[in-house]
Amino acid sequence: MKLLTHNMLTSKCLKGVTVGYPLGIVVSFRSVYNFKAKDIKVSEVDFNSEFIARIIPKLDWATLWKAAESIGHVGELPQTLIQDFETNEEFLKKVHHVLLEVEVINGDLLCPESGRKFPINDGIPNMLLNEDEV
Amino acid sequence: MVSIKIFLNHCTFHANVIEKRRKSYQFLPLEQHRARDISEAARELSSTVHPCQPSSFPGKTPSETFGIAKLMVTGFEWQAVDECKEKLNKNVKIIKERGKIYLNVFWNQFAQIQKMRSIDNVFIVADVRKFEFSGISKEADLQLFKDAVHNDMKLEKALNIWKNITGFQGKIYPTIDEYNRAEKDRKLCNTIITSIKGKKRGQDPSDTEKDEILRYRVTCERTGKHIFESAEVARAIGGELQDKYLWLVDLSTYYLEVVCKVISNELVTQLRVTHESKHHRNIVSFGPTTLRATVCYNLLRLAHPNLGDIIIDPMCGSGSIPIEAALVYSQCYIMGGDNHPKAVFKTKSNIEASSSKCKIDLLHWNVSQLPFKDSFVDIIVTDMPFGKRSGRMIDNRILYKEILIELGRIMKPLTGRSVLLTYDRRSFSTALQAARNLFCVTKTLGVNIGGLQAAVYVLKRTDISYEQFKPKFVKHITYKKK
Repeated sequence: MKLLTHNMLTSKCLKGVTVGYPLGIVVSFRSVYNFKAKDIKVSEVDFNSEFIARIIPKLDWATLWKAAESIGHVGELPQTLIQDFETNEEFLKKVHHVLLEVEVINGDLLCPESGRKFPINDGIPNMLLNEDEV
Repeated sequence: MVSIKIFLNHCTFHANVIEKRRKSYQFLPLEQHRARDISEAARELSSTVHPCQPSSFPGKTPSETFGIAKLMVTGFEWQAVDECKEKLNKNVKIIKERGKIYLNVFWNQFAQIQKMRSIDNVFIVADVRKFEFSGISKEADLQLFKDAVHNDMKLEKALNIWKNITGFQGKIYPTIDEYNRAEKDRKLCNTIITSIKGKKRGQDPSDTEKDEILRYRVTCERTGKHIFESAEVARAIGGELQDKYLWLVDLSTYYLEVVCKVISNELVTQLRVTHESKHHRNIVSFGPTTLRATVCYNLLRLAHPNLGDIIIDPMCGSGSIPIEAALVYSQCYIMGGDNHPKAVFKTKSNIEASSSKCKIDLLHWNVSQLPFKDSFVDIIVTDMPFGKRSGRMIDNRILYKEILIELGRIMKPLTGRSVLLTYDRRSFSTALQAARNLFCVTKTLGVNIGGLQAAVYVLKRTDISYEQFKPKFVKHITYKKK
């Protein structure tokens, strides 16, 4: 799951949940040579500065920053959105990295209101609900 | 409507003719529609598309044009026309027929033609001629074809173009000795060839060796009332071509396919360029209802994606629509999802195979409870369960309604648009009535998907907010069987 996707997801469809945003991220650990590492993949995605500049206004910046921080990939992103980001290529590249190149492979998404867990397996969040939850 | 305006501005006579026909089609029942289509197109064809003229010297000067026929899924012709105008030239003259378009291209434009995404197959128009059939004697009518091929039909220029485009290495004009030797060799190893399993039809012409003799087949398609059958025409023309050029007949492992179309009293001879249909791309692991990549492209075109748009396929199956979107519209963010675990895994393997570096993400969700905020998504393109191979018609009645209301919730008011492909029109129209305040239909297209009369609905979201909306109660009308 990319962080851009996380920025759009809510658990609004759950019974009794009104906003359900933002979902918390809990990354599970995998063992690498007896060390525990967070199950996060960083892959390469083609950079398109115009796209990033256009997508930033649609984002909830605070949610993105929090999510990036909670998985430890916040890098040098500022906590509040800077002015004139459209022309700042360096900044757009950093945002691109956090939005599209960092992927959570295994873990859970947490509903902020009910605490319901949505498991992420193999990079695919499972947002299916049981019948009694609708 | 934008495309229509461009049409009128840039083309003078032909655009008007096509435009008039485009309008008049909407009111014609299917059968008349077809009859008009064929006769008018045939008339225009002989006057505008240059079959490769026998008089002109075979060469590849860039100024020389040659006729091209392209096949696509029936119903998406205008999308193909628009793509041609976009990628080649706004003023190019295009003749549209049912399921195919004809146009003249310059030699140097051919690379663009092969890159086009909305078309399945490409042919070179080698010859267009008219006959006057007696309609009484089969032999006499077939003799007309034989004489025409033997005396008048000169395929040299078309063959030259075909050879250059496909990269065929072998010999197109063998001598009698070479032919006899090849024929003898083939008889010896015929048993081996038939035992090789693999692709059903057609071979890649660029795989040939230097002194290999061209293997060919003739296929005939016939429309209209004739005394002869299409197989007989194919046999007659094929026999004459063999006598004339000394090629080897091979119905399954051929390099060149000559397609003869007999449309009422006209014969159009075409040479196939694409040895494999262009829709074979992107997908590695197939689901039960995987859509052709060309159809996906046409559906996406109908949505007009802009920079920074968010495209969603809530019922992606094996992921053909999201992958095609990610490859073509790199300025958009694409998300796909399905509720079936197998479909999700198939999509994952397909994404890894063909679009791993694109802006695409995959989720596991139920279409009636999509995990998105209200009024957020720009574009929804999806292939709904037809109720034939996937799902059941009886379930569609409730499912479609749920889908439309949920889509109405997540789409952006006023700017959100969705392109939905379905076969179950009745369920769709009742669902649309239930959600009628949320959507307005901007376009509907009748499309042929694997022989099924499917429909594409292009919907635009109205400016009514989801909170104000109350679903209308619609009674299901059931028709009694006689």
